[in-house]
Amino acid sequence: MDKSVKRNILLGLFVVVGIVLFIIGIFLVGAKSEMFKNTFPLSAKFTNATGLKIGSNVRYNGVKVGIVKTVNIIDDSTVQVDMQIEDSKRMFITTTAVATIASDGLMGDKLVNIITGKPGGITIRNYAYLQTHNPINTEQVLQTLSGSNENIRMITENLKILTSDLNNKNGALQMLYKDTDAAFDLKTSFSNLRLVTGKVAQVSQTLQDITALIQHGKGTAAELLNDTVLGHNLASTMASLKETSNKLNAVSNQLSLTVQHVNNGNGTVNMLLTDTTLAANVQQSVLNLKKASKGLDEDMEGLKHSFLLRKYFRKKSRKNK
Amino acid sequence: MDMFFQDAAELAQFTVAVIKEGVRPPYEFREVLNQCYETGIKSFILVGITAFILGLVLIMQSRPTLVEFGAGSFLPAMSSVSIVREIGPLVTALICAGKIGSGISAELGSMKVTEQIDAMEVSGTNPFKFLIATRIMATTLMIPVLTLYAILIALTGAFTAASITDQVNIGFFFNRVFDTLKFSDVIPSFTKTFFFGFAIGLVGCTKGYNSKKGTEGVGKAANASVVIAMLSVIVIDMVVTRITAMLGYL
Repeated sequence: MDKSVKRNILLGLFVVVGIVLFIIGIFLVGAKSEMFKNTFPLSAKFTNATGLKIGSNVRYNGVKVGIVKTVNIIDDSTVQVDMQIEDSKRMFITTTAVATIASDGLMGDKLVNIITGKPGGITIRNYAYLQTHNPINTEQVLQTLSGSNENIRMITENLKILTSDLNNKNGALQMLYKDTDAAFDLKTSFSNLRLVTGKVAQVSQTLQDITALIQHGKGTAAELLNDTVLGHNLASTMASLKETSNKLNAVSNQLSLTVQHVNNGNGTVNMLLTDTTLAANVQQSVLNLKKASKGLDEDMEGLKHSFLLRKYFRKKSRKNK
Repeated sequence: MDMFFQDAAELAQFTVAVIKEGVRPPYEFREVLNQCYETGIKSFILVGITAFILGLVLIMQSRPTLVEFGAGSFLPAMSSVSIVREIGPLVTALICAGKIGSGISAELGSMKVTEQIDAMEVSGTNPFKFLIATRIMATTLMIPVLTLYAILIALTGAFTAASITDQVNIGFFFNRVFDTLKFSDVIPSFTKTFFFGFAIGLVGCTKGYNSKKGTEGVGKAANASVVIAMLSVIVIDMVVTRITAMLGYL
């Protein structure tokens, strides 16, 4: 074969293979860009479409179903995103589906993710608007993290103060931490506490037993709680006691009034209680009465021996015997 | 400064002359094919080896950083965008500027100093049509094809590096590669390779055709051709990137 023909064949092969590779590449890239598939248009309105651009992927529950066709600003708070969705995926997307803007991994490109909505929706139509859920933007995340950082700073500062107090030699925590005597006391306290707890448990058991007895109607307490007749009697007694108490109260009030009158009045009783002269006179009168009584006794004794009345006294003495 | 403007004027005159002669029949198809073979097939091995190594090195260099950020799975996406958008076209153009540009310049310079071009004119052959237009046509057509191969080989190199360091499935790798690519990556990248090829051929032909008398002039012409062609490639790359950004594809 002629040399020039060989060269031409080789060149032709070189170019044809190159062109075929180019066409395959274009086909593959086109297939990924939904160029060779039947698609239908959908739109969604977001307040923020940061990072979203023409050609960004559209996914339905994480599976690629289309691409973003245009991103347009509608007004100062609305961005409209038009999408091309594969027609074969239309059946899965309903009117209740929700579109969100997500990231492909932590550092990946932004994309539109359509998630299944509430049941009851119908298959979506061309040029329909999907419900949207606006994404949490990075600034909001950073603001939250800033708040968390501030909290962490405060917590660490408190921990610093706490550890500083712990290291303070005169502090209670340091004493607990380092002082062996305190530790021994604490240990003893815990031991005592354990004993007390044991006793409390015993008491509790006893109370439980008593309660059981009461519940079974045994003993005086059970009778007190369960006997209706006794209860009635007790109620009557209580009523009587109440009545008596009321009467006593009335008497007490009267006595109080009397004492008040005695204290405030100019009567004999008040004079007897307060007038010392009268008291001295009374005392003297009593003494006189004693003397008079003694004289009367002597007179009576004399009368017994008198001949006029002797007979009467003898007769009385015999009668008494 | 004078030299710069002089070179610019020469290039402008040459561009007008080449376009005028190129579109006017008769066409030198056989010579175009011959030049395509010289520029395309004979540069393939060099471009292929360079592209493979670059793809390999790109992954080996990028992997530790991406893994450190927990983004190891982005290696295929990162390599595809880097190679298709920039590394493939630029490296191919620079290698061709060095190899093809200097070759064209030296060949035409030698023909000039040995008065072969003058002889062609005397014999009734249009040197612009036969020598210049065919070479520029060949570089304009072959550098995009070489770039396609370079991109494929560089991606293969990237996959090789990824499969050495990690257990990467070839299906997964190339699926992620094509999943990441968009027409806005491929079309501007492929379009600029035509401009690269045209610039390399034009600069090589201009410098060779206008080389001064003597072997020293041929050497200088080849050297200037390489330098100016590489600079032109980088300037065109910058302009195309800017235009792509202005159109909203970046």
